[in-house]
Amino acid sequence: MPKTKKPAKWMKLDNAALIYPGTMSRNWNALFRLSATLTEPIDEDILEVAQKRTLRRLPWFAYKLKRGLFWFYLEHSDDLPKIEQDVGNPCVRMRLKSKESFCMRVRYYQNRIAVEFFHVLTDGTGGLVFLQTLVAEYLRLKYGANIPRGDKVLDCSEEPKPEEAEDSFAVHSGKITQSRKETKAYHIKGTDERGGFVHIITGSINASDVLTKAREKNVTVTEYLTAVLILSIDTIQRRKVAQEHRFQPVKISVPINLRSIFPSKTLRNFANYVNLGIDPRLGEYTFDEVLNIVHHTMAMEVTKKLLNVKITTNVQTQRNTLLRLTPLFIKNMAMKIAYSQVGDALSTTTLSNLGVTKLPKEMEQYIRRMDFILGPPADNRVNTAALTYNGRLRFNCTRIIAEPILEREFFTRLVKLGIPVKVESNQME
Amino acid sequence: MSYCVNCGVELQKSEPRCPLCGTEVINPNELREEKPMRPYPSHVEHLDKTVDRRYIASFISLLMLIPLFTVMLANILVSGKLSWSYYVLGGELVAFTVFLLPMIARMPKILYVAIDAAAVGVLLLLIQVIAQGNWDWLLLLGLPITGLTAVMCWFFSVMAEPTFKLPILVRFTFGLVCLGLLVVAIEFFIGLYQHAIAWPTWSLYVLFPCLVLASSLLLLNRRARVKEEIKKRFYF
Repeated sequence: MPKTKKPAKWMKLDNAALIYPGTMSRNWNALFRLSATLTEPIDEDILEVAQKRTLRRLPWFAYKLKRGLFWFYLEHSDDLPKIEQDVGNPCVRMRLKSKESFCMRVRYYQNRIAVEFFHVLTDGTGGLVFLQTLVAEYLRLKYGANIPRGDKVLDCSEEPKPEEAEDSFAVHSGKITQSRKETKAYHIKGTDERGGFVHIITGSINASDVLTKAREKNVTVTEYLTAVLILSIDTIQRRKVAQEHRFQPVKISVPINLRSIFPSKTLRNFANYVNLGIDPRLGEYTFDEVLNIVHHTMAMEVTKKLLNVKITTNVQTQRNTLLRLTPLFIKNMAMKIAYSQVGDALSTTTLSNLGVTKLPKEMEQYIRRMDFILGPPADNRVNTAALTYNGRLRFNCTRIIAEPILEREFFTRLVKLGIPVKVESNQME
Repeated sequence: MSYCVNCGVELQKSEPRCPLCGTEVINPNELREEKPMRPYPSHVEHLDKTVDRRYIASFISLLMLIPLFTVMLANILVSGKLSWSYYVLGGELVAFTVFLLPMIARMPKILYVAIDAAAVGVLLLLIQVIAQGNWDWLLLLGLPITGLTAVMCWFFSVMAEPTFKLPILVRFTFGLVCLGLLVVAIEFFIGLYQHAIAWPTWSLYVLFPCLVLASSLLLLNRRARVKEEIKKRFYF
């Protein structure tokens, strides 16, 4: 057997990842979580071996975040992240300063394997490839399952491919840039949870119910859910804010997977976002009006040309000589200020839909459900994420305030629209 | 199968009450069933209690006012005016600018150096004014050494600026050379103060080790592995 080629000792952060370490605080960093629930309880020892094999195939996930003088960088570690027991409040910020701390952690609870990623490593699509490969390896080791490998479930006996660690933003940037200026959006307010408790409410929906409804309106499922979310937030704002002239735009940040638009095999960050929304000062909107706005804004914004301009704007900022030569601690302060102006401030919440996950039949029989959870946001109080597997769309809401205002409005609205929702949460008894 | 009477959503068996509105779930048909499995464990991860350095520094700064006021009060009560308590004032000023200010305010390094030098200058001046002695030691010894140390620190901070693109080991080399030269200069000023300027003697014991260490660092800098480490930590 040929000797495994050693991965690069260190890597620069990709363009999208640059902002995350700069904006992280003592209590927060940008995390997301992907999980797969199997049919039987998890064996920790086998999971550990599966993780080891997966990290050998995908060494891009075995990096630790380090501080340079000018930028953060990722340093490869030959150690393995410890397999952890799951907790009642997922996505609590990672302790990245400790020596053992990787930028991802594998956790398990009963039948569930969950992987939490710091966004500096990868985006949802890359994370999903990691989880699927990890679970496939676990199933192979535990049950001897012969799972066919491909682009989504990787073969752990293969060598890592350098194109998987490419910074595709730099590859696909052009010349034309645009301003990031946008109006600020309405933010949901509530009583902040002390001690870092993160509330998760999961709405499980029959995927065909939403798809039928979306098709009736000639929109995609993401557009349909976004429109429902916009109207839910609009209702909340109209209830909370007394004067109409004080209304702020309701905008949802919808991440776009750039791999479907630009050719790339990277497993690191390669996503951009579109802010979709309405201006409630102009009057009340009907559901069809919102759907129309969302559908056409998506059609206008999600084009190769416009996304290229967005990528270029970010890459050009990164290449600015003055910025490059600014010491990291000053950059961090600047990034925190910039993020407060053009980050979370521009959207009310995020809706990240990873779409339908299809697994090989040999794997599917062992996996009951899959979930995608976004970690708590920096400034906003609620985040939402969705993933469809096995005919169920699971819509996860992450919240750091005590009141489930948005979740209640959103799920009851879906019920009123004729889409039954089954709800579960991490509430304590 | 239970539904929330308020929200109309179906609730998982694990939910003791509706997570959306808090309404308790009471299903007479399912009362006898065993407690269902919770989707998440009951163990909650808590955030570490971290220390806010800025807050602590501000707090210590305030605490430092207590000995200052006590000493001033004692000074007035004993002498009828403020005199020797100025020593404490000057000392606390230096301690504040050197140790606490960097924790409270973030500013360019050059400003820290200037403020620290000014604080030491004020302390020396206070000592001079209160002691009412010969001005020579202040003008020939105190202020020149303070000024020179500040200039050296400033020079070193300039050399450490990213624009110079110097590897970390070369920066340390500069630091060591600066230190050696500073000690020689101190011996010179002492000679000047004693009106006996002579060829440096004891300061050479400091200068030579500094120079030897500096050259070893330069040699180390030529090692590829060390250079790789530098490249990694200092890329921009």
